[in-house]
Amino acid sequence: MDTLRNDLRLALRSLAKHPGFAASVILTLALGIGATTGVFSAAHAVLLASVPYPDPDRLALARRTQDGEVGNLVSMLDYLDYREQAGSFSSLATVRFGPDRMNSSGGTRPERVNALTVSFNLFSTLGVAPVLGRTFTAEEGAPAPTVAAGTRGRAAVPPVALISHGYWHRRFGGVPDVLGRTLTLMGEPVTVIGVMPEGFRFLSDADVWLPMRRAADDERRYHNWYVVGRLRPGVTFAQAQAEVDAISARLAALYPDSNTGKGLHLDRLHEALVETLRPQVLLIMTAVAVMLLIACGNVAGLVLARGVTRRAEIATRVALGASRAKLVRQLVTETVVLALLGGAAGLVVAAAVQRVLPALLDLGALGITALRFDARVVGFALLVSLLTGTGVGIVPALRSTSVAVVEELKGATRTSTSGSGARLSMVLVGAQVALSLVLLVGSSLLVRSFARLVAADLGFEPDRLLAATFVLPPQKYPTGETRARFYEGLLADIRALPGVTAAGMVDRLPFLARYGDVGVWTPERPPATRVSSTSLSAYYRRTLPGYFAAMRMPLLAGRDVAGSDRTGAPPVLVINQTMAKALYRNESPIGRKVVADWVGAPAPVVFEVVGIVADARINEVGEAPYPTMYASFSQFPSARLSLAIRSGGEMAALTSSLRDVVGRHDADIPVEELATMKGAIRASTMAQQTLATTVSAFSLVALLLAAVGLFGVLAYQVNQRRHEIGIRMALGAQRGDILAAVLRSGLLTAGAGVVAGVVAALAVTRLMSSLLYAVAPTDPASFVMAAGCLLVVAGAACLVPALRALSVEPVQALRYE
Amino acid sequence: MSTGNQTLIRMTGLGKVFLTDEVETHALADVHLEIERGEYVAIAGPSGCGKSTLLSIMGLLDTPTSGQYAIGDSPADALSPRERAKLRNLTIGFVFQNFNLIGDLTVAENVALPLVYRDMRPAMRKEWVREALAKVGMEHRANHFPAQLSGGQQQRVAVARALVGRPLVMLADEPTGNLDSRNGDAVMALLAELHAGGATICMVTHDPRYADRAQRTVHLFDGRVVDESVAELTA
Repeated sequence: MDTLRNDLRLALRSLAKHPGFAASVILTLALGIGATTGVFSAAHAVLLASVPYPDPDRLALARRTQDGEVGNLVSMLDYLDYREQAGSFSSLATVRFGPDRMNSSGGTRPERVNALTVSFNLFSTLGVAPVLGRTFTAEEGAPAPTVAAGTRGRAAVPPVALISHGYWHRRFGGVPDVLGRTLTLMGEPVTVIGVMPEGFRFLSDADVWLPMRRAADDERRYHNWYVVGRLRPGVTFAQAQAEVDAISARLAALYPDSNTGKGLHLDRLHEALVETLRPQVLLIMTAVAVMLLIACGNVAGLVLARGVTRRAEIATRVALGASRAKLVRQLVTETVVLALLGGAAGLVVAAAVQRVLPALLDLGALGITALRFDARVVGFALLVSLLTGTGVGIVPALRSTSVAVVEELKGATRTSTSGSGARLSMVLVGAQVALSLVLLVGSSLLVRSFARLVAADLGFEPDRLLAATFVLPPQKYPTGETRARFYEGLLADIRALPGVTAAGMVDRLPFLARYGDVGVWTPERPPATRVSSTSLSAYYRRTLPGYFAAMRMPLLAGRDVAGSDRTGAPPVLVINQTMAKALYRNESPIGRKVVADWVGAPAPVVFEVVGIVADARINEVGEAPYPTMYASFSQFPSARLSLAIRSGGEMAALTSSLRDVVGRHDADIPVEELATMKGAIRASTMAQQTLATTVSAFSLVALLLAAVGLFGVLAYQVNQRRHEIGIRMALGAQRGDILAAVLRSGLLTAGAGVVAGVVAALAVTRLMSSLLYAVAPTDPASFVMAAGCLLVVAGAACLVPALRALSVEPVQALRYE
Repeated sequence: MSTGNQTLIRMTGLGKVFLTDEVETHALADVHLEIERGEYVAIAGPSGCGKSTLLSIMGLLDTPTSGQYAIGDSPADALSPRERAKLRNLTIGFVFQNFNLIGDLTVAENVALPLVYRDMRPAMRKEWVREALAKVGMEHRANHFPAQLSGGQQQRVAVARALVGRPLVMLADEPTGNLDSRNGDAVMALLAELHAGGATICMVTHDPRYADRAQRTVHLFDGRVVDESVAELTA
């Protein structure tokens, strides 16, 4: 212990004497260790930890498979059968795909709330209890006796709801007597029976949870429900999987039309939830680890350089009887102390990284709103600091202590040499350059991929396009005709608003409401059964006339839906290019028939194709064009309709005008702030933007570190080689020769690093292909840009030491001998 | 490089003053010195008398603060750094006390350096290097590194480097200062042999035994030429 204390005292004293060196190392390591620690806490939450529920290893997400391919959502009737028959689960719960945006009235102003429909046992399955009140009873979640329009049925028992902690405070001011109070959702009074804990979130943000009833989508062909189960103690996933496989087989035998080839796949809940996050986190973790390696290389170079200047001191210590082991220990203690100080400073960086990562990575899906700065984080920083300090110290220490004692003590060298230490420094710098290039290529690929994504042709013009969604309460608008009349009148008034250049309505706007596919076929080629997999799947949208013009989606043939396409008239369709090609290849579809089968349709509906519209992206910017059909809303009116307004005016004023117009039609219909289509598209590309931004940020830091490393080593070498430079000048070297020699030395190192980096990047970037859009992992432009950028920065880093070399006066340089 | 007369080096009223922390140090004062082509001159004196400063000015590594200096037909006063470097490369060969070989380069590469800076074609450079190494008896060590040679051998290589460019004058600064007497004698014998072959040599030394080997010895004291003596060469 005395020895350690003595080593620490000597280390601190030695570092205090060289504050510049110490500060450089501490700052460099603070960046590397800090960023690594910050990302570690996110990686731990995503890759190592579990969902924040009791006994998380027994929680399973059950996903539908079709012909072996894993999907996501399960039909309600299938869920009910699995729940009834699967003994492997102590409980099996479900959550409807959503959330549903519902009108809530009765407050100061009508508003929209996020409502999630769940089975009564969801909370007990997860093991989460409300902070106030109770959860749903089985009776409250029992099948409804009647079916009404919308997503929920009328209940035999009074309708009830659980509310979120946030909504409790927002709507009720956090009053303790909230239980028993009434919310009016979609015109229907609902009693609050409980408040969920602060921060509770499962799958989606929700203000309100409603109990599941059997409703309009209770068909086995329609899959709208997530299923989560808790295994009984002692039951393995394999046993549970075998049991659900047997049930799937029975269901397929019983319901061949809908369940042929269908199954259920079980995954640990945590693993299933992090499936999409995992590659992103791994990529960021790799980037930050590479950055730490570069920082280590940088510090090792500095320590190595300092070791050369300490050779005489070390020789003196050897002469005085110090063993090599003791000297190595002393030197490594110094680097460990530096790394610990760097790690301590890095905790500030880690805290900053922790603050931005949850939003960047959308960790909310795991119920994580903030990353904890706890003992685990500090422990990780400590461990990385110790490893880093030892790693960067050991080789320089071994080299520094292998001195020729007599020669060093004489202080005389007969030749001027850069020495093997300098060569090792250059190797380290070359390695830093290579690693930087890998990161730069990676970020370049991600940036180019993102740039192509945002520049992708969406099929419509999103500039100055604003959106709002309305939902009509079914009690007030019970028939299709009343809904159609309401929306047609509303749209006409909105089009007349000042500043509105165009407006259109559709039940699901691109990027704001996704999916919604139905099975379609031509009468000439009907499917063998109604199972969707044997027919073409197409997105189904309902529009009022003028939607395409408002969206600026080119109508390629035929006509738009018209005001005359109402209930009673033959159903009409406008289809997109992809659907036209899929159904009719090169023939014109205009005037032809298309059969579609969707939720709530008692029988397939036969449409006449009246127009072809250009393809448009619906769910994701990066998706391939998907068959899409647009029916006339007035023929198939629903409660929900979205508005797309193109306006040159100010958004706040437009929202206010819109509220006035809607209020004139129905004061109970809430109007939220208008959403911009660009905002929705930005949200859709957020993951790619996050990756590109994060990896680019780490790449730039890595590039900076590599440049500083190159600068440091060259500056040090120029200083060490002043004598040699003096000799060369004495022998007639011109200033240009000296400049070229230093630049050549630096650029050759950088060039070798670039070559090694290109080879490494070619191997590494292949692993990124799933994260790229319209850019190959070997995209030459990305490689050239990264290499060019690195060489330019390396050139700049070399220039200062090279210019400094020019200031060497041969007389002075030779005199010091 | 050709000269119009026999005087190769001419210093007239040369002075050198160093300014450090407002203290003036007169390293050289009113030095007059001429060296003829083919002459072997020793500059002798005690430590700190200005010998090395004089040699540095002679070798165009430093500039005088007063007086004139000319080498061959070229007055050195008005030369730009670039011109000085070129003139140094073409007309002067250096031999240093500490040899000053570059450890990362082989013997042949060290010797070739002056020719590299002259942009000589590789084939011709190789031939000239071979000849220079042959003159000092180090041809067989061409591919060795300096660290693999003894002190005497390193100084022979340094001499080869000094003469490889066929300079007008070879300047040697205490060439035996880091050698034992046997190797020192060998180097002095080599210089004498080169002089006998026509080389002009100016050597700084504080050792009277070696100064006596030159044709003429210039004695410096406190930066001034205080005496000149002429000896008969024995070599």
